[in-house]
Amino acid sequence: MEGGEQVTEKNLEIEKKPVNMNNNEAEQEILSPWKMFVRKFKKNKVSIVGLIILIIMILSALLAPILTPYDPYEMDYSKINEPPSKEHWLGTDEVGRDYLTRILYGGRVSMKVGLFAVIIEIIIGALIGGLAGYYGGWVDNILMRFSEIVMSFPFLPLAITISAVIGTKVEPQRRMYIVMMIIGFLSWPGLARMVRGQILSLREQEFVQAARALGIRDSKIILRHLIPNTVGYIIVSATLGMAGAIMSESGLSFLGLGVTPPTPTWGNLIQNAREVYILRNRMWLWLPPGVCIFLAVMSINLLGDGLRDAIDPKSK
Amino acid sequence: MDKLLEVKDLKTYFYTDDGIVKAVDGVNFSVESGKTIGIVGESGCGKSITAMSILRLIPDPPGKIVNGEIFFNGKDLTKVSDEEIRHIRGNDISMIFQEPMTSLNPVFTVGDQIMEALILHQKLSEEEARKKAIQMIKLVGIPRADKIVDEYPHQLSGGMRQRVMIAMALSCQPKLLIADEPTTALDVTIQAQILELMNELKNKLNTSIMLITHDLGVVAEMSDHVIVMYSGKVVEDAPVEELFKNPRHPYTIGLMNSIPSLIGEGKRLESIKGAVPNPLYLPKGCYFHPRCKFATDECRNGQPELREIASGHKVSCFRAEEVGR
Repeated sequence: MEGGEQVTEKNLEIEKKPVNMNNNEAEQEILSPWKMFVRKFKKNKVSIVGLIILIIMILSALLAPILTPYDPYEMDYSKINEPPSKEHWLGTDEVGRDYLTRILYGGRVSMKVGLFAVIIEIIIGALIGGLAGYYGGWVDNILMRFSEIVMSFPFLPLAITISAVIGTKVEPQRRMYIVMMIIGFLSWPGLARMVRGQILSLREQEFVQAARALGIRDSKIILRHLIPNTVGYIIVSATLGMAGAIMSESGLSFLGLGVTPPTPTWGNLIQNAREVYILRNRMWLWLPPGVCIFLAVMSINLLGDGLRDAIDPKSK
Repeated sequence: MDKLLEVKDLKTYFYTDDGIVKAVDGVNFSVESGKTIGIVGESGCGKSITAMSILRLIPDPPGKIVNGEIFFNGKDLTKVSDEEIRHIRGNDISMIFQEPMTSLNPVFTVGDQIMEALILHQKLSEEEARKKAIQMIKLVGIPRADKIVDEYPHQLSGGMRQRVMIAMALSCQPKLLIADEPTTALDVTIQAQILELMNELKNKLNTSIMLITHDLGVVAEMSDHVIVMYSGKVVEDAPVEELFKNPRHPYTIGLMNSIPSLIGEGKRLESIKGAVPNPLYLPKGCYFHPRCKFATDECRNGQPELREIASGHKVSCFRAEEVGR
């Protein structure tokens, strides 16, 4: 009798194993969208490189106080216009400030401007796109015509005008915020259009109908049910938008209309290159900030492309 | 029995560029509390629009409820404010849809979606709502409820999603559940399970069900009372046994003849000839006459009214007395 029982137990054990394996396989096959996204993204080596460069740049900007012993605003008239040396890796500027320190702190400002400009862009764009897409009809008409009007303003002349008008009334330290807002308020229409398009198709899906049948408010349907469904697209457009915002900030600052010295940004650091003497003889003053802008924008673009491919379920 | 819902002369029209589509044209019926009413008809006969009109979910424009009264618990739903109807939706009347695959929001967990209505209508705290959600998932017969509550819709099968939809719809213990072809997208075994579940919950929670379907088998199984619709009008209205025993409208008879039978010699299955008329160009007279083999000149010229031919049995046909299976 005992022997017989043991046999059945063993049989059971043998039977159990394949069942468990099947379960594991089934669990592996059903990946959450997030896991699928990560897996796809990892395959894209170029984007990983972009991500790594970007992380290094963000870290070096964040850790600037630890990485350099100098203060970005501290002048030292005994060391003016020095070429790169052991003490000052990228030399000093015309008032004796350590140039590497200025670049690191400049990266802080440039990336901060880029980030907040994009946040403004997302908030306005998603909201207007969401409203226009969900309500349709005359709401859609008004909002989309308005965004087309904003879109058809030439960016640079408008930004220059606004910053010239408002900018002079603001102290230099605050100009950073003005620049963020100018870029943010001028760049949302593209995102709004895209979100609207997405929501136009999403709102016809039954889960929206179901949400309405449950008595959920329109505002909640838009914010909680529809916009989260477009988050993939928003992330992609935000990363690409951030690259654009950093470029715009640099451009404006280079022209002296964005963030102005003494606050360093990559854009106003390249201003040095406007003098022919510096352009020809002191490469270390304009090349590094230029390279920083290039690397930041390129890495964000690479990252954005990778994100887009990873989010798009149709791409391989 | 008291009437929970009474629809009187409901007319829902759609104003399109090509003309007025009378999707629902003078529909009368009532639902008694604790009972199931079945609404049957071909695609495009106005079943779903009737249901949507009750919850005022008709897209406006182009749709509009142009006439009629919908009394629910003594309140006319066509006249209440938007705010009020929103409190009724999901709380007193809820709805489940045909496509379980797309009726759940892909970016939220199942639990979040059930909790949403509970927090909104029952004013439960997050924790209470979560407990209740788990309880509801158990109630609709899904095992591992405490795990499922944190899963996303794509992790569930079609049958499970429909169960979740039912859990969602019933979470606030509504008095009326509108089920718009709840089993059409499911395979037959799951279909039977879902119907059984709905019946069981109806008895447990004393919910009335308004079941929209084109499957007469489902109607026979589930309903206490049946309404047959054609081109936006009610053509026959009878208790379920009476209707199946003694159908009086040629359309109902046609529908019944087109069900394959297990008894008797194998014959060619009958079908109703023709198609549902284009709602923009409805025929003169009785809308069904072009497809009706009993049609006379009277049918071609005048529109029959819904009239009672036996107790509780209403038909809109001039020749109802002569017509029979």
